[in-house]
Amino acid sequence: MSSRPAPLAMGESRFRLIARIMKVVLGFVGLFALGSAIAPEPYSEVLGQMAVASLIAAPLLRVLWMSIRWIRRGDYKYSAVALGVFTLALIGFLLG
Amino acid sequence: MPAVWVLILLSLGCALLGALGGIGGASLMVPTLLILDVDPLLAAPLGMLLVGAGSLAAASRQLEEGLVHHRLGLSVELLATVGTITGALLSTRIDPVWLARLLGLAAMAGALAAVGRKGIRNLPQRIFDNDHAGEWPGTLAGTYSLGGSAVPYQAKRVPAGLGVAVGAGVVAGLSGVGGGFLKTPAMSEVMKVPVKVAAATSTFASGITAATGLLIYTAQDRIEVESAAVVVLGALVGGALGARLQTVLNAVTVRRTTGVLLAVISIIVLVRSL
Repeated sequence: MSSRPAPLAMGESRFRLIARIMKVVLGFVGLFALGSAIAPEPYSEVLGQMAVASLIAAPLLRVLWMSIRWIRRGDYKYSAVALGVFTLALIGFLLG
Repeated sequence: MPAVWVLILLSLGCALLGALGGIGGASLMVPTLLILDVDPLLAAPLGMLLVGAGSLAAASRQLEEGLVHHRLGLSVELLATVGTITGALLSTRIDPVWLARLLGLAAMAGALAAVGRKGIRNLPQRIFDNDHAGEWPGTLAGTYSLGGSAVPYQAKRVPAGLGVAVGAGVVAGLSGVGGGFLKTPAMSEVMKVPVKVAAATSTFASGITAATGLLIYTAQDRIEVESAAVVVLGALVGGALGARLQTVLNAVTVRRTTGVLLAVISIIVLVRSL
C-alpha cells in the first residue's frame, strides 16, 4: 500500500470552500422556503420556486465543481463520470 | 393535498426520524401521504424535495469530516440516474394502484434495511494514522477517521453494487423515495465500504437523484410550489433537530423503532391498494 496515491485532504481549503458554499445555499433555501410560507401572493410563489430551484441546482453544481477539479488533477476517468451524471440530469429534464 | 400545518408537521417528523434512524425520511413520508389520500403523482415530488433538503443539510458537515467518497458516489449515481430517469418517465404511465403497491414494497424494503443494518466492519490501522481522511485520487479507495485513527477501505464487487444502484434509481424515479435505503446497503454490504462512508456517500448521491427527479417532475408540471416550500422548510428544521438529537438518543433503538413504524405504514399502504 506504500505506492498508493496521496489521499485528498478533505479539511484543506478547497473542500472548505465547497462546504461553505453548500452552507450558504442551505441558508438561502431555508430563507426562500420560510419566505414562501409566510409571504403573500405573488411573492410566496416566486420564493417557493427559488427554494426548489436552489435545491435542484446545489447538487448539480457540486457535481460540476468535482468534474472541473478532477480535470485539473488529471483524473479524467472520474471527471468524465461526473460530467456524465450532469449531462444525464439535463437529458432527464429534456425528456420529461 | 393535506393542510399546510399537516404537511409541515409530517415533513418535520419524517426528516427528524429519517436523520435519527438513517433510513431517509422520504420512505416514511411518501407512503404516509398516500394514506392521507394524496395522489402518488403529487406525493413523489414532495418525497424528492425531502430527500434533496436532507442531502443539502448534511453536505457541509460530511465534506468537512471527509466521509463522502465522491468518485464512488458519482459512479453509483451515473447508473442510478439512468434508473431515476426511466422510473420518473414511467411513473406517469403506470396505474396509480400499482404505483402505491410499489411504494408499499419500497417502504417495506426500507424497514428491513433499517432493522437489519450492521455496525463497524473495517478496523483502524496505525500505518494510516498520519493520513487525512478522504478518497484516494483515481480509485474507489480511501480512508476515514474513526476514534482518532484512520481506517483504510477499498470498494469491492463494483459491477454488482452498480447493478443494485440501477434498481435503486428506478424505485426512486417511480416512487419519490431517495433510494438511499438500497444504495447504502449496496455500498456497505455488496461493495464492502464502511457503513459510515456508505451512508454519507449515499446521502450525497441521493441529493443528485433528487435533483434529477425534481427536474423531470418540473418538466411534467407535478410540483405544487406552496406544498413544496412547506415540505422543504419542515425537512430542514426536522433534519437539523435530528442531527442535534443524534448525540442524545441511542441510534440503533431509534433506527429499529423507525423501521417498525415504516413496516406498519407499508402494510397499511399495501392493504389499501389490494
